[in-house]
Order: sequence, then structure tokens, then C-alpha cells
Amino acid sequence: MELFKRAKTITEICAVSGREHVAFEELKERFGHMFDEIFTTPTGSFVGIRRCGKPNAKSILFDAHLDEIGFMVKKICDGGFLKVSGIGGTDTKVLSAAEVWIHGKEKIAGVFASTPPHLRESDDNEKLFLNDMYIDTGMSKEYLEENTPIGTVVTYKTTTEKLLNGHIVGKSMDDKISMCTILEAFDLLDGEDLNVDIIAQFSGGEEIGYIGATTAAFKAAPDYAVAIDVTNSYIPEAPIRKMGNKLGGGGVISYSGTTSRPFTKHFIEVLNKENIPHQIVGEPGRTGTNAHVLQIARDGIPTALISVPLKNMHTQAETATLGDLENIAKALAALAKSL
Amino acid sequence: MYETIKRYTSAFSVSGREKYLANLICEELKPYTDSIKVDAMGNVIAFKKGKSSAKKLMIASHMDEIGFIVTAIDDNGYVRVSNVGGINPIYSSYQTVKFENGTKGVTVIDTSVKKDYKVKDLVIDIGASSKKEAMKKVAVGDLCAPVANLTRLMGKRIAAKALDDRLGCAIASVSCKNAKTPAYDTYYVFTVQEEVGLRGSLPAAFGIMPDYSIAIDVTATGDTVGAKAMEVKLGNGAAIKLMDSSVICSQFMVDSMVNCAKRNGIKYQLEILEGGGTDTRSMQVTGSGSHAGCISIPTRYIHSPVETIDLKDAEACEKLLTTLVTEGIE
Repeated sequence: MELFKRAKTITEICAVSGREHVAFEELKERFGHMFDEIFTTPTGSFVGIRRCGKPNAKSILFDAHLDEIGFMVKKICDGGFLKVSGIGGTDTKVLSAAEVWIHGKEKIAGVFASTPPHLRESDDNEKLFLNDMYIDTGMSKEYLEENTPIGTVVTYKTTTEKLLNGHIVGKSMDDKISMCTILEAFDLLDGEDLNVDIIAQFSGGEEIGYIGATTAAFKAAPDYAVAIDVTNSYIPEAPIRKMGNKLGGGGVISYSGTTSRPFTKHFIEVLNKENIPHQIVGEPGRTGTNAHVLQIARDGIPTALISVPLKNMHTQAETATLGDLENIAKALAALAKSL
Repeated sequence: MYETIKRYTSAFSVSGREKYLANLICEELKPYTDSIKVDAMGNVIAFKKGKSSAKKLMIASHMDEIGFIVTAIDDNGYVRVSNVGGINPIYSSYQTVKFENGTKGVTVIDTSVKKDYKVKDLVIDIGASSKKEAMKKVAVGDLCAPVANLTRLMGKRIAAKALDDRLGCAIASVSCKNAKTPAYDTYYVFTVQEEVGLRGSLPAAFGIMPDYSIAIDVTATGDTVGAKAMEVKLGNGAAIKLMDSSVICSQFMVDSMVNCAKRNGIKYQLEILEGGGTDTRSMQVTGSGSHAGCISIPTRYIHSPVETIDLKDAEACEKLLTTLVTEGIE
């Protein structure tokens, strides 16, 4: 499948943390043929395994998280308004006037209500909290009570589009474009003679505390793991210390306090040998990714982390480049071949 | 139910020192279980064999309550303390507290502090006139909690300390007696150290490796004075949890609970709790994960010595739990 089309298909899947199972059928239908075995877990993870066919082969697990941040209906108000609770760390600053899908019995559109500048008090610049915001549906309270009861999930409504120079923009690039890099790597490895089984783990619940990665990896029990996630890339006036990576510079490999240094070193050596563009970042402690929990799943799994440079994280306009996705796919394929 | 609540709230059971309640529960449930044991952490694991052993169900309610731990004793004989679990200093001030050895004291606030009280501004006066005298009764590391108190309000409601989560324990205990033959191999687990990070239920779940898990714990209500938007009301039935700050319950469990309540005419409401975690999480993420849900008891003023519940809600929770245990989860 063409890369942009695949990225668009995957990022437009709605799989809010804790409710990822709604995507299982679609994933199976679209990508099931790429694996020899598939299993899913109660914690929202979808795992596909491709065997190398060699006896007692070791295995490498590539993890990207399937879940995205979103909202859950917590109260139905008069006049067609809904109050929601946040799932994962939403940036409330950008929510005002955002368009959303409300995944009720019938999927309906809504918009976060906002106060127009004309009506705002002059000192109205304070930070907005989700608890002060409403989603406007334009429907009756009776309809909402029936169709979108408490517990209904809400996602951003954005579609994924192309910008110039191979840039793409959309919702939940974090972390579905990383799923894309894994699938691309599986394509690159199609027909290759490997010494390891390769495992694609699309884990649930990352945004609510890494729950899908730790549980699915417990079941898959791999010998090596690589987490693929997103990382903030440079924008003007950003603190360089935190956002030194460049969009288009290739995957960002992390030397961190909670990933395996020997395995990461090996990964970088492979990329240098194969001339695959990449960037390196040093992170002192936890990385805020599944790498953190994969490393300590079971009796410990040597884990590396490679991230897709991303702008506007946790908004409905997350921006990445197709070139980085291609380079990360190549990196994962090269790593699998090196084992 | 009322008598069980009264008995359980009377036991000393601060996080890390749950053995008194554990012993009480063990003795009480022994005749109703196939086996009952206390594990290395102190969790009570009461096992009932099911019609089928193809699946395992774990139920968790926590025995521990929040309290104070002695950090120092000053020259005037005041006992300085730190919190065990989430203490709100306002909720906990000017209370009578009791130590494990029976010593009593009162919690008072440092009067030089005018607002934004912190736990460190609370001291305990045990009546000692000197450090030396105080040290005869209390040592660094000793734990204390409010003395048992239980008041019936309007006949149907109860205000008491530690209903979080003795009420959960009482519900699980009554259910353990009432559930004659469970559908699956069922483990009623009375957990330790929930209030300090869901620490007891995690290894208990690892030992059991359940397919399904249900926590029984308290939840806040939207009809508490000054509450945030929340649909849960005291007296409106068992609350079926969708989400709290530690967990998003499995859709499968939520649906099973809702269908079970509808089928059996049990009054229920759906719950989203925006502040607070439960053992549901640790059971959900243990091993390769389980389908996890939580039956919550609507409770006002959680973590105060006057936590307030409606007995009808508690009865609905027990009925829902027992029906799920005996009819199975589908």
C-alpha cells in the first residue's frame, strides 16, 4: 500500500485509550494477512507474529501504541450540550472550537463550544479547564440520553491530509504513524531470510499508563523489543534542550536511563553501516513511552526506543513527514536482519 | 450487612498493618470457602470452587485505611506525623485517633498556620506532658487512625470512618457467604496497601492470574456539596465504573454488569470518577491482563471520618456482585 494512503487509513481509525477493541476487526481485515498468528488482549493490544520458520528462533517485538487521547461523556446537559472527562493528556488550550466525533449508538458530530472574542470579559485569558467546557451537538437532551449515554467516547474529527514536502497532518499521529512504520518494515522484510520471529505489537492504553504494552509483551515474551513512538521536534523559539530534533532528520534514537544501552548501541551501529538517516537524543530517565515498561516486562527485555519527530503533539493537527516514516521502517528492517 | 459494616469499621487496619481485620475476616469466612489463606503481603485470599474451572474470577476489596505514621516526638510531648495514604488535613483535624496499642490522641492544627494547611501542620496530642512521657506510649513508626465511629442517619444512611473500603470488604464478605456455587473458580481477595499505591492487589493478582476481575470500592458523588459535574447520586443504586484516574474499565465488564443489573432489576448508575484510583487497575494489568471492572459504592466525604453512604446502595452492590459471581460474566 502506498505510504500516505496507509498513514491516512491508520491515523483515521478511532481508538481511544481503553476502547481500542473497536479497531481490532478493521486491523485484522486490513493487515491480518501480513502475520502468521494474531492475538489480542483484554487491555486493548493487537499483536501480529511472523515466524521465521527456524527452530528455537529468538524474537524481536516492535511496539507502537494503537490508542489515542480522547474524551468520555460524563454528563448530558440541557440544550444539546455534553460534558466530558479527558482520556490521556489533552491540551485544553487548543480545544476551544475543535470539531469532534461522538461515537454513540449513532456516530454524530459535535464541536467544543467557545466564547467569541466579542463576548469575552477583558480578563478572560485564564487557562481553560476541561471541566469548564462543553461539547455542542445541536441535538435534544432526550436524543443524547438515548444515543450518547455516559461512557460514550469522543475523538477529534480531523482527517489526515498532505502538506508540501512530504509533510502530513492529522489527529492521533501519536502513535498510529508508528504502527505505519512497523507495517512498512514488515513489507520490507517480506521474503527475507530472517533468524528471528518478528512481532508487531499495537498496544492499547499507552496514554493512560502503558497498560497494553506491559501486558501484551508479557504474553508475547520476546527476546528484544523496540518501542516506536513520537517525539517533539523543533519549532521556532522552542527550548533546544527539549526539542532539538528535526522533522525530516530520520528517526530519533534515545539513549535513556530506562532503555538498554548495549542494544541501542547495536541498533545505531546497524544504521550507520546501512547509511540509514537517524538522530540521537540523550534522555536521563524515563522516556514517557512504552520502552519504559517493555524494559521491565517479565524478567526484563532489552529494549530500544526510536521516535518519529512530530510537531503539535496532542492536538488535532499533529504534523510529521513521510520521509521519517520510511527511514524508521528501513531502520527496523535492518535491525531485524542484523539479529 | 449493617452488623458486618460495624464490625469491620471497628478493627484497626491502617495500610501496612491490616492483620487484625485479616484475622477477623479469615475466621468469619472460613466455613464458607474451599480454602482461605493470608499471603506474604498480608492479603486474605478466600477461594470458592466454581461450576467450571475454565475461567478464574478475582474480586478485590481493600482492608486498609488511610492514617498517620509517627515521624518524631517533640520536647513538649507532641507527636509529629506524616500521612499514610491521601490525607486531607482539614478532614482529619480535631479528631480522636487511636494507635495500634490502644493509646488515644487528638489531631490538632498548628495555630500559626492560617490557611493552605498541609499534613505537616497537624500534630497529635496524646496528653503527655513531656517527650519522655510520650515515648512510653508511642514510638517513631507507630500508626494511628480515627477511632471507630458509626452513626445512622435517617435510619437508611450511615456516616462512619473507613467505609473506604470496609464497606467494600463487608459487601464482598456477605457475597462470599451468599454465593452458594460460583460460576467460575472465584477468589474473594481482601487486599492490603491499596491507599499507598494499589500494592497488595498486584502480587495477589499475579498469583491468581484471573481472566475476570472486579474491584469493590467507594466512589464520590455528584450530590456532595461543591462537587464537580458527576452523575452519581447517593441512593441511586450500585455504581458501575467506567473510568477513574487509574483505570478505564473493560467495555466487556461494563456491559456484563449493566446487563446483569437490568436482568435482575438491580438499581444501578454509571460512574466516572475524576480523582482517585482503585485495585481495578492492578488486576487489569497483571500478567497478560484481565477483563477488569469495578462496582462502586456512592460515598460522600471520602477520606473523612464521616464518610456517608446509603444502605440501599450497599445492598444493590452486594446483589450485583453475587449475581455476577453465580450467573457468570457474559
